[in-house]
Amino acid sequence: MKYPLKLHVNQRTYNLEVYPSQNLRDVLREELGLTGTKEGCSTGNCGACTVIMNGMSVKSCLILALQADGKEILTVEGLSTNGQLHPLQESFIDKQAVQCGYCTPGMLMSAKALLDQNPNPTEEEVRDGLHGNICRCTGYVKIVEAVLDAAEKIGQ
Amino acid sequence: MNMFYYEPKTFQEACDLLNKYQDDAKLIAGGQSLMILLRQKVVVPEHLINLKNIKEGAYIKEEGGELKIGALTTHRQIEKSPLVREKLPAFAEVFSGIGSVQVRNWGTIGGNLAHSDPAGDLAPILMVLGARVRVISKSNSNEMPLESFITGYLETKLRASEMLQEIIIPLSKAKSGMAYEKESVRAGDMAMASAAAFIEIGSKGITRAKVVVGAVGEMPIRLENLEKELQGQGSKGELHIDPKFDQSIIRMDPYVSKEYKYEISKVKLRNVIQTAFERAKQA
Amino acid sequence: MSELNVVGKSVKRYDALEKVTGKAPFVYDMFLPDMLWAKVLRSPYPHAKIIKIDTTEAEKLPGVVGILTAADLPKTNHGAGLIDEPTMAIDRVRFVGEPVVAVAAESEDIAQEALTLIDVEYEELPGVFDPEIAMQTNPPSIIHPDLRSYSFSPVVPPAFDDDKPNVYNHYKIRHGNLEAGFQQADVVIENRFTTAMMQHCQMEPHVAVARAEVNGDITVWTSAQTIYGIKQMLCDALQMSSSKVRVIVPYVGGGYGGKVEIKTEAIAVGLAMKTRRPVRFAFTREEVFTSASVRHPSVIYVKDGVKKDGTLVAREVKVILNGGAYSAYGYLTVRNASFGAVGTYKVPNFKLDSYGVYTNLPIGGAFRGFGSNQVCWAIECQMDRIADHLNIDPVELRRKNLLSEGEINVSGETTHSYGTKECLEKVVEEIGYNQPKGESKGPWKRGRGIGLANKYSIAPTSSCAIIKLHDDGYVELRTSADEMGQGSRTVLAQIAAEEFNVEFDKVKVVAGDTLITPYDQGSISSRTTYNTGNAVRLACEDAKRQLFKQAAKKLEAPPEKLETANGRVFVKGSPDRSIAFGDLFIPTMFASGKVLKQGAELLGKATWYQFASAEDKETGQGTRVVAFYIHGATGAEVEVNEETGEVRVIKAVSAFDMGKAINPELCEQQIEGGIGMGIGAALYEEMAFDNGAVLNPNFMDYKIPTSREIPGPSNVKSFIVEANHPDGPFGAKGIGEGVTISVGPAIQAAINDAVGIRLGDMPMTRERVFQALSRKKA
Repeated sequence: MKYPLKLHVNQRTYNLEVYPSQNLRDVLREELGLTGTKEGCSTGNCGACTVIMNGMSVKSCLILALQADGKEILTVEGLSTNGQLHPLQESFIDKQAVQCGYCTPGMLMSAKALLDQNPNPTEEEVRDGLHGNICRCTGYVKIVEAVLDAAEKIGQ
Repeated sequence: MNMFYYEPKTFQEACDLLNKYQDDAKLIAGGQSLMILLRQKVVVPEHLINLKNIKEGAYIKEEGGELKIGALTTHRQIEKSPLVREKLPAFAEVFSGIGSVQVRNWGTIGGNLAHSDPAGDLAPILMVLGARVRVISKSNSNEMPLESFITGYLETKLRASEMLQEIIIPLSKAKSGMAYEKESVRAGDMAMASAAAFIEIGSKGITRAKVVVGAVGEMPIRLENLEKELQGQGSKGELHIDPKFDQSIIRMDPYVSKEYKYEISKVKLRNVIQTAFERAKQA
Repeated sequence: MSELNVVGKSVKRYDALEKVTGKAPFVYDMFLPDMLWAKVLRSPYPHAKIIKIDTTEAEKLPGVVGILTAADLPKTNHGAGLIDEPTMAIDRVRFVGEPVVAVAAESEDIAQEALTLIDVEYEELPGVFDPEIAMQTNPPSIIHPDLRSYSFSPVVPPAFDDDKPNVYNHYKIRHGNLEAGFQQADVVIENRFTTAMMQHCQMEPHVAVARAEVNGDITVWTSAQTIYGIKQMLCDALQMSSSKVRVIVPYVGGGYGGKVEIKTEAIAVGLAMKTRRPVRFAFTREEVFTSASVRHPSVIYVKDGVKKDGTLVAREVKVILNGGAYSAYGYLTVRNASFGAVGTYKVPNFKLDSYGVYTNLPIGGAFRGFGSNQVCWAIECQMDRIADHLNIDPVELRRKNLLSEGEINVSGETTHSYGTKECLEKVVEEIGYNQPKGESKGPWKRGRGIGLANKYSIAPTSSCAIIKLHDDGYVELRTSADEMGQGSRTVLAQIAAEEFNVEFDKVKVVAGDTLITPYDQGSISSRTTYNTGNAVRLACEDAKRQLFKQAAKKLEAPPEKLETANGRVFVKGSPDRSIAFGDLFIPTMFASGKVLKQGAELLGKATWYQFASAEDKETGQGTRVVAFYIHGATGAEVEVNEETGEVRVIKAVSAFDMGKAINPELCEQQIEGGIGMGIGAALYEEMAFDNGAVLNPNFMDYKIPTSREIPGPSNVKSFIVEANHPDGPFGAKGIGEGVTISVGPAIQAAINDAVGIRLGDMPMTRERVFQALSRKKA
């Protein structure tokens, strides 16, 4: 049977009904149409479904949608505000950190969670903070550069 | 099949539900392992009980010379806890090697131990630290050593009506040191071999040693012979470590041979014993 | 050539904004109204006859709308040269994971449940997994008894071997006199090398959404990198007329060669036609491993004759590619893998035999490098062993044997635009090859090594482009080059911008829809910049001809005296005599836009056809066998743990010659990504099997490197070498594939430098390193 679910996503509140077995990722993508959050593996390894829940990065494929009841969720669609790109988004463009783009949203969310906790990370800390997100195109090189660049911009 | 869902707010409510539904119920905390099994329909519970709303279940405190950690405390909370970092720095260190930040943000210590994956990182070090677990049911509450709680591959002593409430880690007053190491292909991967050691030293060398080899067997295994051999060693500084163990305990692994697992376990055992000993000397 | 304004500049990617905001369209994100979900029941056996399929129980399940088996489809195969593969198994399954029954249902869960209600009766046949056993004269099983009756592409007919019933293609190169070569040799060195089966692991799994239109037309959205190839395979498989099929490819979440066959499309279309509703067929990650294509595992024998001074005088290579159950693009890999042994070294006397062998494993297909990874691995490892034997520095040995401009290679082609030497020297310098080694810490020993790479690009091949000029001065480019992350839209837009002398952002790219974008062979073989780029240039020239013809009257100057910039046409040398594109149009009634008085549109169109010379079937000799060669080198610095065998890459440096770099930063992206993927291949990635079933079909157990396994930006360096190609657009060649190839050999050499072991099997897992170290100690 379905259960009521109140989700606060990107500062909008949704009242839904979902099955207990549904994961947060599928609800975001299929019920809310927020397909910026990607499906890549469903085993919690690729990180393409990473969202920020109550300030923490989590893999939305490994969370029951009902466990997110009442929580504040930020997806890639909520990263820019009033049409203004987040510094991470700007840096990903400027530093050419995007290739196929399928890992990009999850990567951005992990990077945001990292910078929220550690505004001034070293290269090693960025590599460590992103290792839960797989990218098959870039070798992570320009992604790490972009995160360091964004940290600098935010710091200014 | 219909699946029913519950969100108990207290351990008591959770135990009541378990008592009622027994084997038809499944507990979910962080779900970092269970979610995969649910998706694959390996686990198809009729009653799914989400423990994440049990606020009283997530805590870290020092009480009576022991560190007490609520079963619903996340890996990340322990990793970042100033108390854990102060009292058990080597234990806090282990967490950075578990999965990824995202997994640690939501996965819990209780879920990790109850899942009882032999390649898990927490059981070996908790075993050498002499940790106990508190197991509760509707009308009972028992403590038992973690060592006897874990009974096999993905198996524990937990009965259908029981759940984990707390992990209790005694804090050694002696000059002691501990270490954990795993061999994993990538950062954050499950271990292909692992080892943990806890060593107390006195004026005549090692007074107490606990050593566990993880990942290779059906569950983490104490190596009591090795512990005995270490007893009294090290008064002159040098340790003679011969970390052999019964190779028949090693599980088949599709990717690496049993022989390699054995050899690499010995390296890990030697390393953790040496490191724990060095740390004890500096304590 | 006049100064370039846009080409050669690192403009920011055309697609980046959409991708960082989560708005970029991917097919995996498509959910159409009234859509059904497809799931496929797959063979649990590596080799079996299908006796009976019973779907009656599944049909009764509420929510099941349609069930599809081979009986519903035309009895026609498809393939990429050799037409041997049915859309769904007909009477025989040849690998674990082969599609047998497909279900379309109201939800994913219902479709999944329906699969459990289907009963398929099989009769098991012996499975063959080892290619050297499969290619025997009397193998345990003949996997395609009808092989010799299959149809094939007349452009590249197959060569079968009478005494090897499981060999689906055999390619030969013969050059010089091998026997005489070996007689001149002071030393003969022979080794066996192997590589593992790898999966592409595109982050976006394979997916297609199909809609059957009321008039019988089909629209299919797919995550693919050969839009027209997919369309043709669909038409072949379903016996449809090509105008009835429309294929749309938006952005592709990674390709690397793995999205060139109809893994999802035909089944989605079949179900959509049967149910008259849109159908989504999305692979799970597990299905990507079991049922999409893979990189052929290989066994390669190299026998070399060398002079004492290190000069190669004879080389004999035998390449055995484990092709899995069907030939697919692997059919061509058999031929093209050979070129890995062609493009780098001068060998006066040469013989190569390359075999594609059927086994009961997943299908070996295209994978970034297309056989060159395997062959270059063997050749580069072999060069190091020669150097060991003769006590010559491996870099010096390579310098001695490199081809030079103007020299004939073993395929008979004349070497040109050959940047290998420069790449090698750059990497030697940047990795600090001749510097003292870093300090060893405990069991960790340091070492450095170098490997070379070459990657050909296919010929014959063609691409088309259409250019439309808008009245607001914008240039529209229509292309079917698939954008899977390599940056094709950006690079092609740069070329159009350069040709029209407009800002990069004044070019609009319309891509990936067979209804409106013209033929292209696809984003394969590192071919897009060179081939589609040339088509864009030619289409721009065509559009300019029309533009100047129309403008000539208004500017009262002959067309050949005109030039264009910033959306205007100028009389050359008279900046004050100009007209905007828009002024060539006239206003229409009721303000409904503008129209050209003649010709409807300012449209330029062109085909670029890259010819290939005739090629002798017995010797492989021709004057233009490939379109071009990419060349490069990688230097790696590693730490090896002597106790555990673990290898860590500390630093990696690559230099690649791609001809003119149209967008240098995008070329760096490719080089860096190639280092990442190359590290995965070198150290970690290997699909494991038990009786034909994949044991590690997930990202937990199949180990793709993360940001922790690949060095960070301070320790990864990429360098661009531009040996311009006379036929390339602005001198460009290609880049995408070569970049992974030299990484494994470089790491192999670095491991040897660190701990003195030579490994010949990739991946160089820690267990293999450990075993080699144990052997060395013993």
